[in-house]
Amino acid sequence: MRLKSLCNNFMSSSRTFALVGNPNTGKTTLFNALTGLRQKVANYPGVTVEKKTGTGHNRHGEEFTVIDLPGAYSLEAKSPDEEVTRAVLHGERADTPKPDAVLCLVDASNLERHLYLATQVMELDLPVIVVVNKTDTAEERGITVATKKLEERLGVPVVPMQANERVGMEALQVALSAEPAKADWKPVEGDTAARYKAIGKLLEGAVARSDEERLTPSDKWDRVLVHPVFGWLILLGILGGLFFTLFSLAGYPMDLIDGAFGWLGEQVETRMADGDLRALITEGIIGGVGGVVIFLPQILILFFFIGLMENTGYLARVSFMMDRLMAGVGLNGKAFVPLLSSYACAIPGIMATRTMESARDRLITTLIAPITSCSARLPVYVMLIALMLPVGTAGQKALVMLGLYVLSILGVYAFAYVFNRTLKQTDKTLLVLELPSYQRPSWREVAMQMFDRGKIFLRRAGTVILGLSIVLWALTTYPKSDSEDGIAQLEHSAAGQIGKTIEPIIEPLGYDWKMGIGLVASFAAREVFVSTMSIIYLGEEAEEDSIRDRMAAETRDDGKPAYDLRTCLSLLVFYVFAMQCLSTVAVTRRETNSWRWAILQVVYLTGFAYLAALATYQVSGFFV
Amino acid sequence: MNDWQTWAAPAVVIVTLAILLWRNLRPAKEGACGEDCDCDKSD
Amino acid sequence: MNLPEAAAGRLEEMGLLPGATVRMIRRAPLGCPIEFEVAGARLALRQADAAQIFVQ
Repeated sequence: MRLKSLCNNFMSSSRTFALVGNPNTGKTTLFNALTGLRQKVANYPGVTVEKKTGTGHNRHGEEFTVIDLPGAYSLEAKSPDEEVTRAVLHGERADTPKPDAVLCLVDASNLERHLYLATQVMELDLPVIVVVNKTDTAEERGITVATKKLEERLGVPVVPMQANERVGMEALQVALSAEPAKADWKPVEGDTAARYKAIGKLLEGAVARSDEERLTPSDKWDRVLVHPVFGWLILLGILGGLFFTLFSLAGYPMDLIDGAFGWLGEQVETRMADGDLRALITEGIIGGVGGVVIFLPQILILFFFIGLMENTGYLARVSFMMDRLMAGVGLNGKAFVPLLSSYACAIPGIMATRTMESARDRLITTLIAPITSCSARLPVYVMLIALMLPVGTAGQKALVMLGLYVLSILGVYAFAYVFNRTLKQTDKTLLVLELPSYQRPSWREVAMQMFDRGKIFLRRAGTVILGLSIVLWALTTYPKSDSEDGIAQLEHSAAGQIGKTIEPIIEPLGYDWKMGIGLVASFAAREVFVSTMSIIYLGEEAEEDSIRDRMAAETRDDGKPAYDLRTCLSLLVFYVFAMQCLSTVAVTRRETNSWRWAILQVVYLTGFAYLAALATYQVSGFFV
Repeated sequence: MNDWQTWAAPAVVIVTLAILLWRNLRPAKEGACGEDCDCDKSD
Repeated sequence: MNLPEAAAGRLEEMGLLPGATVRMIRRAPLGCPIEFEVAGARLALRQADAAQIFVQ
């Protein structure tokens, strides 16, 4: 492999550009504009910071590589993120050769602050291209930047740009295709103040600011969105709207997908003779994978909302509003974004903690991240809520869903509090949150992110879930019993026996052995609960067709329905808390560099889930 | 009951298991990110 | 400023230097943190931390 890259470098003069800038500058937008879909995300070995590389083509048709380095405010690294950026630019990382040139992204509205990092980069003896982004927003605020002047002073290309409208890409291409040049910048001697002074001199006469105290458009929005009363109402409204959409609108595409898988199953059944392999395909694969893929519309909707909030800058406001609540339990407001991301998936959430400076804060956030109701739980929630309220309206179901999310939030707080008390206190941490100005959402960006996530979801379904479904099918089929009866077969199988064995432990929670199988299986991945139930109930020959109907008709020994209100509630509560995701455990282990915390996560969460579900079932017995 | 199916099915299962185990127990190669762990971008 | 090294360093990087102009914009709905405008950007700081920064 090394020989190949050596040849590559020799034959094509393929250049590598590093993209640096403050967080929230639109680096990723520019990165997307340059590389399109030709991106790859990996890992910097040794740390859990993400490595994002992509390729693009310049005007000569030559290929170049772009590395999207983690956002940094300065090369005096204060967080793991910044450390990686620093190391890569110095060529200190064995896995990433020093880039050939650096694209410094600065925000036109805030040149001084952004140039702090850019000037540090210029002192690194690397060719530089400066990109001045968000010129439109700056103009609205009355700030104009004379990029030509800066170009003269620095001797490097200074390109004005509006990355999300793709304005300025032409000029950037010219710069990228030309010979890269080093900046005409004298290294600053002294501290922060000295550097800002030097920057001030650089910008003298090159930046025009209108004198009036302009109330920026952002401020007008903030007046309402961060309002003591309206702000909260709006936030709740948005969240409520999200959940409502999940239950109503998503229904149509879901039915389509359901139909498609059903059709597929029929095709296989008619074309193949009855037999084990056919059963594997129809029940195991189609049933298992289909049961999860059907939730694709909801995943897309969820990520659409999150993407939209982030893209417009609203997400930072939410952190702003929520910080007080978080400080109460010792959480840094910066933990909010990782925790919020965890509502989509804990894995990027835990990875996002690397922007936090304090190791202790990072640890606590990592430990509680799995309590957030991630998107993998969605299929489980939806399925169980539907069973719980067979004749409920979308509104009622949304309410229950909201309740589950509230429960998870309470859990996050409670455990944050506990961990805050029990883990040793080190340095007091500082919260410095930057509130970027609002911007018109780039629908393209949001859509790209949404589809990206959808792709990941499907990929997971096609790989991990597929694999697990097949294995599960085997566990519920082998060893085979002699009888023809589906239920007896299930009981006799390996899974059935495991289920029966743990039945006494889970009975107080209101579960039977079939659910037990689902529970155990879903410890690998939560969605598997849905697949497992699909497989189990499809495997039984019964009158009802859809899995839902079959589950609803399922009864216990005493004739009462198995999936009654109490059991569903208990199951839901269990799923809110239980640690059921091998991938998350793996990431925790990587982040913390030890098994200790990962194991602790599994133990404390699952243990608590058990107790909570137990309490739910028993206590609800008094009311129902 | 079809004879070939009776052994074909378990064969598929075993292969699947092998793949699953191999993918998860692979040591420090590539840091094991970017595939099924739902990675996302930074800032 | 009366803050630990690392924290002070971060704030300075963000433009909060001796002599810089700071403008308070608003408080969060629950009173804390507080949004300031510093060096052209909007930053939010906690009450307790902000109290450590001496303003003329």
